[in-house]
Amino acid sequence: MRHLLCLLCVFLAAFSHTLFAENTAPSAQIIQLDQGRDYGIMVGDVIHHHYLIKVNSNYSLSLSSLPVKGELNYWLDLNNVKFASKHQGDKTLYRLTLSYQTFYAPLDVRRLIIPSQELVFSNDNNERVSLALPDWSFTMSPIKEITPSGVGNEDATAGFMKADISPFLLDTAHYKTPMLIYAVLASVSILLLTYFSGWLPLSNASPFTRAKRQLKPYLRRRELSQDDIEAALQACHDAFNQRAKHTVFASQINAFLIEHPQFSSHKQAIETFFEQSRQVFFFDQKADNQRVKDCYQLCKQLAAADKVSLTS
Amino acid sequence: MAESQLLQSAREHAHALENVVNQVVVGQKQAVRLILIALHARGHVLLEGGVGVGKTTLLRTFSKALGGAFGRIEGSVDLMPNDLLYSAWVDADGKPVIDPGPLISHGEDTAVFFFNEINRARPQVQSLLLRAMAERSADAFGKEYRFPHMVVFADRNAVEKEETFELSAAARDRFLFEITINRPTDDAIRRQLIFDPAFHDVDELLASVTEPLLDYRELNALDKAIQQAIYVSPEIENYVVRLWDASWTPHELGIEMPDIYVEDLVVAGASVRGMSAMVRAAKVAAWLEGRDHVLPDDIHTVLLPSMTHRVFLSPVYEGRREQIMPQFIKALRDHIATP
Repeated sequence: MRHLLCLLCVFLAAFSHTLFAENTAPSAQIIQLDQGRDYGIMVGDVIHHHYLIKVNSNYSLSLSSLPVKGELNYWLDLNNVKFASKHQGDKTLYRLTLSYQTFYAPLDVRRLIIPSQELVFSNDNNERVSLALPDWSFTMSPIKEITPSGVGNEDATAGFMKADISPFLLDTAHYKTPMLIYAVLASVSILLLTYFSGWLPLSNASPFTRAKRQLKPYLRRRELSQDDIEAALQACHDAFNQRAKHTVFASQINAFLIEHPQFSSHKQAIETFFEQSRQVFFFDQKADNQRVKDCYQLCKQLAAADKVSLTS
Repeated sequence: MAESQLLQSAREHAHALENVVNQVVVGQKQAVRLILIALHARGHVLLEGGVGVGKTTLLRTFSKALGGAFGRIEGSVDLMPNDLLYSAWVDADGKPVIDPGPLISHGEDTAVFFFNEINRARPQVQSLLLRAMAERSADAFGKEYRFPHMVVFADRNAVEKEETFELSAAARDRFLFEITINRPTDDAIRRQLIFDPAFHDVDELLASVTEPLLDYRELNALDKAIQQAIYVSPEIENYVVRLWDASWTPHELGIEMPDIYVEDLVVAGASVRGMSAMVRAAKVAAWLEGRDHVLPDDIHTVLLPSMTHRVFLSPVYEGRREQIMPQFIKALRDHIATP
């Protein structure tokens, strides 16, 4: 009887264990883990932890439980968190990669631990299952000698210092041609812009642009002498003469406008200018600064109108 | 500048005279204006043109409209200087009589002396005329004859070169203007001249100019008044001096002309007398336009007629003077800048 009871107890124990095992079968488990080498790690190294996690399909990873990128402690940064999921029957496979970077600078070989992380999976009924990613212990190695051989030697004051590693050069060969093309295009564009704006000293700028430039200093001055005003008006006359390729007199305005129709809309202003100029030059009339301002405005308008025919 | 009453009324008379002449000689408005300028600037006028374009008619009309005495002589190859001063003839008794010739016969009343076909006269005759034109006086019968109001109108045929004597440089320089008379370009005017009977008889046409429209004795004083009243700005002075320089050395001022080697074109430019006469004429032109100051336009009005006979071209170009000079003057105008 005692034997029977013992057998029954063993059976029940075994059965209950089986039942318990099925009921408590983890909904999420790590089925593959790759944490890389846990020794010989040096300051600045990046450590990649790859996890393959299997969960029941009705559960999904709660994104808020993923570790947050950034500084975990004073020597450890979490640089990157990547994950991807894939359905496989009634299970979902998560591939999770955590990239750490250590900045611990040991003077001797030192054991350190990357702390564990906890992931949470939840289903539609808001039932949650957590899964702990285990902590990871590894050793870090120093990158320099504790006592370099040159220490104490006056000639080797830089004994601790190593020569800089020559920088790694990126391959720029395939950028060269496009860069050359863009550089040429940019240069041509700038040249064209300056050419059409009349900024180049030898360009085919409108003579009125040059006259405008000559007149500008007079505008800034408060008091203008008669000679200054005459010089300003003469600059404008010179522009007319250069545009027409001969001296333009008041009686030739109509012929000038027929030859250069782009200025036709300014006929009135041109006639006024010639009339005012006559008063100043031939009638010995005292002129005021307003004449120069009017003259500047006229040159400005004619220069703008002249842009369309720069090549003529 | 307030204009005097004298200048205003004189201008009205001048315009009235111009209108009358333009009615008799149609299609020559520019030439009429230039002769009017020359009259008021007290300058002598040389007309040049083809045969039958109205040169003589134009000068006769002016002479008649001007009033005063009118002397005339026809140029010919056998004309001698004395023919201008003395007129020899035989009277009814068969005795030779020598009277004053056409140049001096009217003395101080001479308003116009008209020398037709001047280039047919010998250089001796032209020389006599030099003094008459420059000094407005001549010696004859042992005394000096003065004609202070006289202007000489001369014409020459530009086409015919047979039995002609080219005017000397000095003689040409005495003329204020040389005006080229071409046939009218306007078609309506040409038809009128050919078909309108009013233009068939010149004497009848001239009869329409009944009374003098200007007093020739006042012209000298009027000219003085004009020369004083009209203002010439320093800018115009500079312009005229540059034009003068350009008439001597056009190549140095960058003047270019098609098919002409400008460096070799000019032998001698305009004279001092020529330039001063041009400015006098420009002042009159300004006055006739109702202005009291000279503009470049006035200079342009008188530039060609006052320079065309004063610039001496090198022989290779002399033969084409009639074509070259207008081009040359236009080039001067286009290249010499002024406001």
